[in-house]
Order: sequence, then C-alpha cells, then structure tokens
Amino acid sequence: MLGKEDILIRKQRWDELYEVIRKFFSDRGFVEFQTPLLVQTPGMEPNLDPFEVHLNLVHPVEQKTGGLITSPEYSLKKLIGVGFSKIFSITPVFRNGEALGPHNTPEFMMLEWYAPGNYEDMMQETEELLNQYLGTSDSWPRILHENAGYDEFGDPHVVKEHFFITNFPAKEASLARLAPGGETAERFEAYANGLELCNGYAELTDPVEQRKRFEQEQFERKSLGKTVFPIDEEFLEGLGRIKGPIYGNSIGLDRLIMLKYRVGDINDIQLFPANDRWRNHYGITK
Amino acid sequence: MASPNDVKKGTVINYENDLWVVVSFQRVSPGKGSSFVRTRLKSLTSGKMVENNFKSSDSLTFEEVMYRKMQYIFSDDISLTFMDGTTYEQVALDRDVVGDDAKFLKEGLDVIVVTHDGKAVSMELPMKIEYTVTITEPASKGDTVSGNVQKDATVDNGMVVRVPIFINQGDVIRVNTDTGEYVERVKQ
Repeated sequence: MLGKEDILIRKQRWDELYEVIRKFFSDRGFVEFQTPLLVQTPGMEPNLDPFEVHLNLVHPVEQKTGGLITSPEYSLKKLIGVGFSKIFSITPVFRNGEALGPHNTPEFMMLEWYAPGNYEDMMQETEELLNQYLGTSDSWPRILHENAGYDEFGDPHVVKEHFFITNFPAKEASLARLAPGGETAERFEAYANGLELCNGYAELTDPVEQRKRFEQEQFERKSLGKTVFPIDEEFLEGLGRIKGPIYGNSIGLDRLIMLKYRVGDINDIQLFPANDRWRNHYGITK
Repeated sequence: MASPNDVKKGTVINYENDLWVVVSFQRVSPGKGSSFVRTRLKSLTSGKMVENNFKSSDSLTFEEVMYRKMQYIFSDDISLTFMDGTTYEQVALDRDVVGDDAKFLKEGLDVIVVTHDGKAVSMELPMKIEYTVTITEPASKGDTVSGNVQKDATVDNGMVVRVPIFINQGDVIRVNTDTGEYVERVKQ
C-alpha cells in the first residue's frame, strides 16, 4: 500500500483532471450522468473481452449472465433517446483478456461524452479539452487514415508527437456513421507518445443498420468461441428516437494523466495500482 | 512450436536463423484487426536490438532456457558479475548485453539471469527496486505537496532520480525499472 504523501500526490492529479473536465463541460451546457456498471449486455465488439458475471436470483431460482461495462455508451445513448442532448460521464470501465502491463489495467477510468453536431465539431471540441487539461495551445494535426502508414497490426506510423487519425475505412466503422459517398467512416482516434488516447465517432443513429452490425458482431464472437451477449433492445429502440446528427467520444483518463505528467507506467498514477492488487510482476517471476 | 501469446520477458526464440531474447513485450488487442504481440528482441549472437510484432496466430520456436536467481556482486568496464547464492558459482554478462539496465544495479541485488546451453545470455531486473536516498535538497518553505514539483535525489548506487519534494535524505524509495521513475516512498 502506498503511503499517505504518495496517495495525496496521485489524488491531486486525479482531482485536478476531474475539475478541468467538469468545468469544461458545464461551461458548454453538458449534464453529467453516472451509468450502471453491471449490465446484461456489456459490449458486443468481437475484439473485446468483457468481465462476465453470473447473477443468481431467488424466487424463482434463476441464473442470468451479464458483465461489467467496457464503456458507458449504451446507457448514455439511451439517455439521448429520451431527449437529453449534451451529456457526459466519468466512469470506471473494465476490459478482460488484455495485458496487465505499463499501458493497460483491467479497470480504468473513462470520460465519454455525446452532443449534437458533426465530425469536425467533435474533433475541435476534443482538441480544446486536451489543450485545456494539458495547458497547451497546440493544434493536433489531422492525418487521413489512408495516409497514416498503418502496419499490418493496425498501428499508425506517423512521425508526430500527437495527432488525430481521421476518416477510417468503412469496414472499420464500428458504431460510426459513414461519410457521404460511403467509403470512409466518420471515426477518429487521438494518439500521443505512441499511445491511443481516444476513439470518437459521428454516431450511427439508424437502428436497422445498427442491428445488422450487432448481428455481424454476434456472429464473429460466436466463431471466435466467445460469449455471445443478447442485443440490447432498449438501446436500439432509443437509438431510433435520436433526432439529428450526434457525435460521441471517449478518452482513457489514466493515459491522459500519464501524458501530462510524463509517467511511463499506468500503475504509477493509480491510487491502488492494478499490479499491486493482482500481485502481478510483468518481469520474470520464476 | 509455441504461441506468441506465451512470450515472456527472457523467453528465447529461434527466429530467422538467430536466437533472440525477449526484452519486453506487450499483448495488443487493437480496435480493428487481429490481436498481436509487440516485442523488443535482442540478438544473443550480435546484441542487436529489433522490434517485432507477432500475430497471435503465428507460431514460434522457443529455446530451452533456465532462469537463475543470482546476486549482482561487481563490475568492470567490460562486464558485470553475478553470483549464485547457494553454490557461489559466478557468471559474467557483457555490459552491452545488459545495456541501460546496468544503472539500476547495486551490490547484493537479486536479479534473474537467463542461461541458454549453460551460457548466461541476459539479465532481468525486478520490476521495482528499493534505494536509500543519500543526497537531496530539503524541501524549502512555501513548497506544497503538489503533483508538479519534483527535485533530484541521488540514491545509494549513485543513480539520480526525480522525486517529489517531501522525500528526505535517508528515505527509502521504490523506483520503476521499466521507466526509471520514482514510484513511492517505502514506509519504515
């Protein structure tokens, strides 16, 4: 366990970040929400492994399968479906099946926000938030996905300290809307010091197309031998009620603090470092 | 044959007609495409460092290696010497094989020495090492315990580390050997 002074320093870094975020969004008229962590459909993406849980019920005895959220996306979009427009959440999220190392921990903090607007509005707002927190006034260069020199492992090779990758190919649209013409998706990612910081979309709000993508993801999960979660019908219904274009973005907050304070190991900014909690040592332990 | 997902620090692989020791690795599940393992490899024959990504679906040939817990005892300009605490057997590793990690060593430190065919091929540090601060300026009046303010501290093996201002001479601190950064003060 860390000592009091070390905890205090780390806590001040988190408090500062929360303060900047809350001021940034309240100045722009956003409303903050806490959303459920434990849900029946935690996330459908084939490449993600949610933590799975079993809900044991009595009267009558029944067991349900669910999981811990990999992002607050479904809950937040349901809120937009009932009429909220500019919303954000600061929440723990959970990812299983990844390395427990200097850049990843199974539980981390995420900022996610949604607002009416287009692709360019979203990137502009993200840039302003990053500059406000980092105390910089930099422009984050926009680099088209097709020019980013992606390697076969899906990593961009760009000689810049920080940048946005924009206009993803349509097949990597995920929950993003396709750009006019249909060849690229209105999705972007921010990178800094070689780490992915955020993943933003001009959101797909067509429930019919979304259902197709979910069914495709269920099929892919099944063929990978992964648990297939049921489609969240409440989410699809809410999606259909969203009026006009919206965008959404999510930022991993642990990595943002690492970036600001030039800390190389995610465990060294957490109050309860994941490596200590899981007694993990990513060197040799033999 | 083995899966790249089973790679660990110190694993020795037979790849493109050379033997390589895995210096660091990271399993990556990107938002798109298939998962892969990013590795930094050091050639056991030339000491050359390369970065290589292996798809999780690739297969690799692992070489049989032994991991021995040994103590660092001394060094000269060319090599570093380690001793087995039970048999007192000594092995030496060239400085250019150990590289930058040498700065973290101090007499009596337990490390893992990797041997292949009876020959020491690499050394692994613990993830965190404790050091005693031997020289640092006292915090001046008006400094607050803040996330930003740091100062230099020299520790018992001569290495200089950036530390928070509340650290005093004589304190024991933990340092991350991956990043070289201060982690925490050890309660005494």
